[in-house]
Amino acid sequence: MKVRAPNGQTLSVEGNPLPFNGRWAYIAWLFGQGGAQRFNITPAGSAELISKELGDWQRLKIREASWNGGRIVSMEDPEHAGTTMVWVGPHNEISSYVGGVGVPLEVFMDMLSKFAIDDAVEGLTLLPLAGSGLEHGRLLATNVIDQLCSVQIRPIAEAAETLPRSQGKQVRGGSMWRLDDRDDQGTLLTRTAYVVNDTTATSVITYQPDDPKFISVAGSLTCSLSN
Amino acid sequence: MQSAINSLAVLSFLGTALLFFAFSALLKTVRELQAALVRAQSGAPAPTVIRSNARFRSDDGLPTFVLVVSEHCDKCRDRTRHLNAGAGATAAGHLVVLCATGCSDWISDAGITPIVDAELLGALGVGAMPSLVRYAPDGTEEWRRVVGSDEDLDTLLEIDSKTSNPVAMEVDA
Repeated sequence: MKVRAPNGQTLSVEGNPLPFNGRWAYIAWLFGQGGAQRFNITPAGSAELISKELGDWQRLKIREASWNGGRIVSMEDPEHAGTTMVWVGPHNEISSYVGGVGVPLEVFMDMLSKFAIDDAVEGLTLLPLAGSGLEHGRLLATNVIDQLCSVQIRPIAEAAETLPRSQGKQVRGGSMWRLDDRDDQGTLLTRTAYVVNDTTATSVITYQPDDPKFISVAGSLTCSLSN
Repeated sequence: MQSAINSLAVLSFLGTALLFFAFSALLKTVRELQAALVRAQSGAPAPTVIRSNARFRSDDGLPTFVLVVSEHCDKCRDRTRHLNAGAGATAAGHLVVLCATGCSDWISDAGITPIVDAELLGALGVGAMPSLVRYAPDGTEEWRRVVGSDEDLDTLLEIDSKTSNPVAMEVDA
């Protein structure tokens, strides 16, 4: 499976024996003169759906307008004095968080107008325009295999300091380390497989640590990021 | 003879070295100019444009509120219905709903003027819909704002003083 990451790179994930639940979700950090701004890029409708699932929707104050071929929605949370702003495109959506209440929709429109946004089925790209002073920094791509594990992929450049010193086990997707978290009695709490290759560092985190299917998923997953 | 050739060689070498310096200085200037250009493009505030439209001039000294909507956005329909249901009754000004097609069916209140005019809509250059634009009696645009909810529409209609920065004003309100 090949998809497009928000920074324009191609993310390729092959060899998973079980299907992923849905499409990929990304967190992208954009760095500029004013510091970093975080954007979540998810399948269209996710933010609304999650907030309804969590039961937050009723207490939120919703603003909505139509802009740039999509809907621009702000979800204001009076309890925590913060506003989640979302642009919902035909296939994917971009959301970010702004502190404070009564934030006009124009604020998010200004933020997004610094990018060339291209929304397609294979992924949304959010590329800074020349002169915007912004550039892509960290990136995290996540997906889930139902009832089994979550998969988180980062570019290798950002994972350099988290690489284990020891030699990993050679698997199809690179070198693999298994990280077990146990309590004092030796009971397994969580189990994570960490698979590293030339372009990506992937964490596969199980929901049930003793699930035997999990390690075969981690061992056969091959991820790569390319330009 | 040999010494002359030697000195020539040394001189030409020195010349080359000097050329390198000159060239790098030139490159540096070019880089600086490029950076300045990028800064100028991103940082410079846009020139203030005074927009005005003769269609929204009024003789009675009252401002005109223009709600710009599109048939194809359901929130536009909601805002228009809210306006039609009496939200504009307290507003001190003329009420206009502008769209390219279809919005006249949404309006039953005689106090609201529907204008179906794609050309006028294009001339306004409104990016997000629904938007509310306020015009002074002489047809000058005072401000424009995206209307995200019915409450926002009420708030914006109640702003009676002319302000250059309705965004900041709404945050305070």
